[in-house]
Amino acid sequence: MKKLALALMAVGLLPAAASLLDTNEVFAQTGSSVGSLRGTINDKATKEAAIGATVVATSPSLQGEQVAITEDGGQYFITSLPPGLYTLTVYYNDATFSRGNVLIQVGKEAVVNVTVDSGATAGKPKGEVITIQGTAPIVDQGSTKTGLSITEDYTRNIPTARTFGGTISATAGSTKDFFGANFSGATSLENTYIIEGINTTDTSNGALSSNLPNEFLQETEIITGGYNAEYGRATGGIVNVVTKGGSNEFHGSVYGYYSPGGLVADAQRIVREGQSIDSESKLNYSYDVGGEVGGPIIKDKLWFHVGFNPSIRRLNEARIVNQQIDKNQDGVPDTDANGAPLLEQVNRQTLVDKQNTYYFTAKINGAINQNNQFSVSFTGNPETRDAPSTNLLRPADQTVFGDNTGAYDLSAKYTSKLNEGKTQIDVVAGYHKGYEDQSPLTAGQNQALVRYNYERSLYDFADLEGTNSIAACQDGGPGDKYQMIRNCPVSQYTESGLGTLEKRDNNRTSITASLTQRVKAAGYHTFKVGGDAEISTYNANRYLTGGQYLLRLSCNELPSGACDDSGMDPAAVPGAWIGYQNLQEERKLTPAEIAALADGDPSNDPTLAAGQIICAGGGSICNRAQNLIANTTNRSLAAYVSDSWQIRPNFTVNLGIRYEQQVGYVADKLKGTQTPSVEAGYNEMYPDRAYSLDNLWAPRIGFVYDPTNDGKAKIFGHWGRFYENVPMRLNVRAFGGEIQSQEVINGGGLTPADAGYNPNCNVDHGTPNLASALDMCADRQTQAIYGQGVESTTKGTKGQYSQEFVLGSEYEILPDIKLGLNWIHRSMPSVLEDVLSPTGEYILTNPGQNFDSYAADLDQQAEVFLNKVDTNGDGEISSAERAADPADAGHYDLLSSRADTTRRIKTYDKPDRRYDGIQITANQRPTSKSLINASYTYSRTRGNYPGLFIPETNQDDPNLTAQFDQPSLSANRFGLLSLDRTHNFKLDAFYLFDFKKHGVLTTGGSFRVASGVPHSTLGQDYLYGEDEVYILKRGTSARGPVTSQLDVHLAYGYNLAKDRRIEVFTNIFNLFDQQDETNRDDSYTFDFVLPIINGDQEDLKHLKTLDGNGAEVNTTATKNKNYGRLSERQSSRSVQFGARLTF
Amino acid sequence: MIETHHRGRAQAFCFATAAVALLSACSDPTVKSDLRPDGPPEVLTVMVMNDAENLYLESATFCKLDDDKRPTEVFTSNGGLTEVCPLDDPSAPATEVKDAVPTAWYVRIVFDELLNPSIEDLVPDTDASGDPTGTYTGHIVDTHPVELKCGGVAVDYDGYYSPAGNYQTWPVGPSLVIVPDDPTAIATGTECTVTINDVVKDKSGEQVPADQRGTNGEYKFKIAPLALLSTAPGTVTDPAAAEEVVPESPVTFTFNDVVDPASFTTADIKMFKGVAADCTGGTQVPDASVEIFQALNDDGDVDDPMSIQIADGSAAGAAVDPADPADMGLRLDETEMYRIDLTPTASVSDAAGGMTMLDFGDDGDMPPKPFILCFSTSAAQ
Repeated sequence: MKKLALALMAVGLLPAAASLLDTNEVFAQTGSSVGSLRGTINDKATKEAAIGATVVATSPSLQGEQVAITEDGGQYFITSLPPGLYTLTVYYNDATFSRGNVLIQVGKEAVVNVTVDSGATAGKPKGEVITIQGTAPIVDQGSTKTGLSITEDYTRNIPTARTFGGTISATAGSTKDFFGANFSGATSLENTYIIEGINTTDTSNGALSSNLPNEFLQETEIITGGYNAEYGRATGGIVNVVTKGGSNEFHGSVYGYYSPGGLVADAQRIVREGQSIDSESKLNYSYDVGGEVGGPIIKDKLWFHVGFNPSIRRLNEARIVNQQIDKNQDGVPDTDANGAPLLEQVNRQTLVDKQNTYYFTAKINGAINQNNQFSVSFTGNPETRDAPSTNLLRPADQTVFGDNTGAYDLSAKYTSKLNEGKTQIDVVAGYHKGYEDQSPLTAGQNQALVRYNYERSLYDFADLEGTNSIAACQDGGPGDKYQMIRNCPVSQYTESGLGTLEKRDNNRTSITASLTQRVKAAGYHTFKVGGDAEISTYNANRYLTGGQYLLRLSCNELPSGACDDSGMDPAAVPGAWIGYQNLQEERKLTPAEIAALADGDPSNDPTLAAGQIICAGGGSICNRAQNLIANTTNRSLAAYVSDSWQIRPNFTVNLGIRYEQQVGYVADKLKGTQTPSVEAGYNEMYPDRAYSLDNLWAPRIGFVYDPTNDGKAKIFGHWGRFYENVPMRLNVRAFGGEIQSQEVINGGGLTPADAGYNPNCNVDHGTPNLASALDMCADRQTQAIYGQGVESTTKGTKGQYSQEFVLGSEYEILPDIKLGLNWIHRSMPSVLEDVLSPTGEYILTNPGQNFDSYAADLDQQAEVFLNKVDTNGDGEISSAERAADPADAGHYDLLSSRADTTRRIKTYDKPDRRYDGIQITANQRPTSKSLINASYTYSRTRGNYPGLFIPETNQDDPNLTAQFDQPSLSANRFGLLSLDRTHNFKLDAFYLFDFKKHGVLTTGGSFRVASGVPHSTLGQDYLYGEDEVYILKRGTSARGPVTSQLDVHLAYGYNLAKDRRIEVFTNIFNLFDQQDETNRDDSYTFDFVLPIINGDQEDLKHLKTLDGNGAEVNTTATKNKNYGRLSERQSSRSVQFGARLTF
Repeated sequence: MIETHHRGRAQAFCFATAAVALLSACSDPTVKSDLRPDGPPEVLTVMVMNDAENLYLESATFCKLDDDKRPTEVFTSNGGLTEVCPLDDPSAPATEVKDAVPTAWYVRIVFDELLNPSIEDLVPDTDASGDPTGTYTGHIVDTHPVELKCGGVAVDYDGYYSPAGNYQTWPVGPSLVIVPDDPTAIATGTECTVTINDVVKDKSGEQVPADQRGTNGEYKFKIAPLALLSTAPGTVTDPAAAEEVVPESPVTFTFNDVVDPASFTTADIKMFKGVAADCTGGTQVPDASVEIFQALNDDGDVDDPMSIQIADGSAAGAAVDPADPADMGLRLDETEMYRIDLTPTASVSDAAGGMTMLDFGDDGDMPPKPFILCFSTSAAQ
């Protein structure tokens, strides 16, 4: 116990140490698409600093040259260097010295100390160049950033994905989630993607939007932590992409990749009990053909680079119908030794996923002179796709839909150096356009989606599946081999419409500017002042096919609980349905209508036409809206100041502070209109601003110490706060006019013998115009109306941010090879999420925080209206007083209700996420001959807030997920998050064997080992649906198995001429065809249940269910047959061939 | 190569970094929704079913004082809110429940931590064929976690253990639900008590402390008094609103508990017909002709033991046995105006002996005073 206490004390000291460093707060950083160089020049002959030496940097990547004069102590600084290999030339005392092989990487500062020997020139001809051997250290001495840089050496010789979006997961500790690569416990939606200096992150949900093939890229810098004040708007990683530019010579490549489906290993089946429909994805073929070339327009003045790369992919999605087996006719389906059902194939259809992506790049670099440079780039990745729905439990011919996506990016940069390079101005302006257009491909897909929410025979849908095709599924039919079982059970079968589709534009206009000034005072300071502004838009047209979504319930979900005596046979009673519709406000009710509604006499209620519904808390009439259109805008501003204070040549302190502001606006159509009333009788005006997150101060502090004093090692630390850039799905869904209703239809379940029976209520598959018939069923009961068109934002709501503490060290143990050890701790002190108020109003706030002072303000405001209405002064509003002044009474109700809700916010569990990781890395400088990137990460990711989406349900509604909507939804959520991979090992390497005139042979490989996924035990919430209840503590179900994969690369190249090589190569992904589990079914039950707080497996046996009214029932939950079963595997082995001509 | 002393410094730093990191990943914090597993189990609240209309909401008859885990304002499954224990004053006790639903009352004891689940026996459910459905029903009849007494007499019960609880037990859940074998066997208005037995233990084997077992070691509540819930036809406040009913149907009085039909006689009501439009006057149907009975169903059982029917045995074409659904005779005269008055001493008893005066005083919600049960009949259908 004592040891533990001491350990806890030690941990507790760390923040204290960080706060001590506050007194020395600093920072510095180079531009986002360039690197920098500094060092000292010493004269061996005099054993003193070489003051006044001229240092010239040249490179094929650089237009002209960059020149610096050494100052006191022989120090020189050269900034704004495009990434590449450089040569330093030092002119000193009539002697010339040259040092080559200096690698400059994006966002990094190389330290190159050069010792010249002015005495060695004695007697030598003037002008002779003395070459100094050696390479520059590869340890970045300028910053505390953690992460990885990926260059063309990596992407050409390591078997990897074709685009940077796929390669970035090579970074230490990175794992993949549903939307991409994630870093340090954050979800991938928390990353920021920068291409050519502009933010290209999807404005919708924060995902990757723009993507480019590796051949177009000069370098990709992945910053996973420790980054400085010029970066912001990310609580995950920063992916900083620099495209290739031209040079004074023409260089480029022509290449092709081809992956034949015939060489893709068969995927092992994933068997699901109770589902006769199975799927099998297999690549048919994919190929890329592309080319890129760069060169001079005007030598040393104006360069260009262009590229085009169509990428074609065809995937065959087999939809397989199976039947269960019962050879011993005992009425129990036969299983294998593992309990998985044995199946016989009945039918097989192939759906083709057609995906064509057209990548392009065009870039111009210009140098007006040495001190004024510019570039303009235009890139894009438009894509057309006919994609099978992820849900194959529907007729094959209704499954494929259109999904066209893509993005275009235009960037313009200008850099100007003044005052002998001591002052620098950088300006970047950009425009990002992202889009997606989902569309039905058949008329049948344009109807209401209909789902049967229980197990039934697939043969019920023989008219859709083909009577002959699934004849074996007919129970009791002529081909029924196993008469004691249901041959082809199917659950959640879906027909007709596709549900919600979307057509959207996601654009961003941005400008960033910075001024850098180097000052000598108590060492060297590099001050930087900058700012940026972004105007982002998300124009959404969300389209619910058929205007509604219909769900037929099983009888145990019926509000009446009306199952027949034989158990759960839904066919025994006329089915009840749940209808989900999007609503839009049609008109507000008059005061007389509101009073009539409130009098309790239904005969006085307003008459509603078909499809109309009372909404907005009884203040409005809504009708169905097939399209929800919301055009929304966000404005983000940031300013920062930083100082990189080089106190000594081997000790730098980085201080920075960043200020951000984010303003989200409500949908254009709602501005200047009145809200549907939460409290009948009063309508607010919609605010223009949905939310305004001000005073987002993000301090950063770090240090870098080089104990070797020659750039070969560093010990560094960093503490920083990082604010999230709120994705705009929040604007569209929470402030875009969205109202949704949930109705129970035919809840009475009347049979033809019952009085009041209406055949339009008793419909099932096969009923002509099923959705229209249900529209004519009068037995409709509104179960819930979600949303009021806009959410309200609690006054005082703070932005979402994470805090990070990094301690690390790097050491160049051998020339060009460095080892690193980092400790990263991240937490999330403030989370922005919405909660549901008792009045049905969703409120955007910081769950778990105390807003009592704001609640008191609301109470005071409410009291003003109470005093106006409460004429008899008894402190209450009587019905007569309400009738006399309904508007002020409603206003009082609204404000006092919000005050209550505001006070309640502190009672919610406080969202939290904690990441602790140790990383051991080994990196070799990328050269053309070999490369090693190795890392081992030990980490724990815990919390009750996974991030901007919920991995268990893949709900990607950043900042408005369901997890804190009600207190009961947040129980048991604190635990190991599903992105946790405790052990994560990565090794990427290649080696080139140069056989001189016989060519070159390159062997490369990529090896990954990672812990499995922590799993949970999930159930269905009464209001929020499947997998929203954490029955047991998160992450306490068995963890998935360790997965590993080896990919290999083999290439043969032949030099046709100097700088011209032809190469053929092959990549084999998953060489050993390991198809281990990568995910499993966490749904313990589909019954309505509540969480067993802090419970275990023994308690689980005693879990009781809730009935159709949400009341507890003394029956344990029905366990999902597939709970704990494998649901996803590693992709099977595939082979890729390619050829490349470089020149 | 790095100098030795540099390397040593770097290594020391690396070890320190690693040690701190390893130690930091030890414990999860406590969040508001967590239970309180340390220490003995404590009773946060005792709830009783008193929602006669919906049989959904329970009310607290006991709330532990000054305990932030006790449920106060909670969301319910219909998206609404209900207050279980007083929200504004953590020191305020619950108001004792005196209106437990006579026909469906049960008791829920909510704990601050999970109990040893062995307190409940699970019995497999079967379908009509006798095959297991895969679900289980909980029973506590054999583990006998509490003593349940009504009127000082032990009451047989069963029930179950619910580790998750229901929507009202938030933010905790674990609860024992005590369900009497026959709730109607307890007379209305009776006071009941629940006493926790030592067999109730948490997972670490600790019992509920003696001083945490309610007032004087018990929790109290009362069964609601017997009450008239409704009449058919309904009572009126305005004679002009008198209903017209078919003569084939008798007048029905429905109570909130199973009633003793013998306790309701012509000493309690008087029937008049030929009543004026303003519901006054009329001729009293002789007591001997007023038939008070409980209608039977097709199986010959009492159709609704909570109801009593009244018929006019003097009606033309009157049924021989008005309780028999097969008897097609009339229960009332055709096209007639009736009134039924309660006598000043009118009373009724439930099957377990509880009695109520049908005085319809100020505390009665139904029907309002004065009691006017006035209606007309149509022609025979």
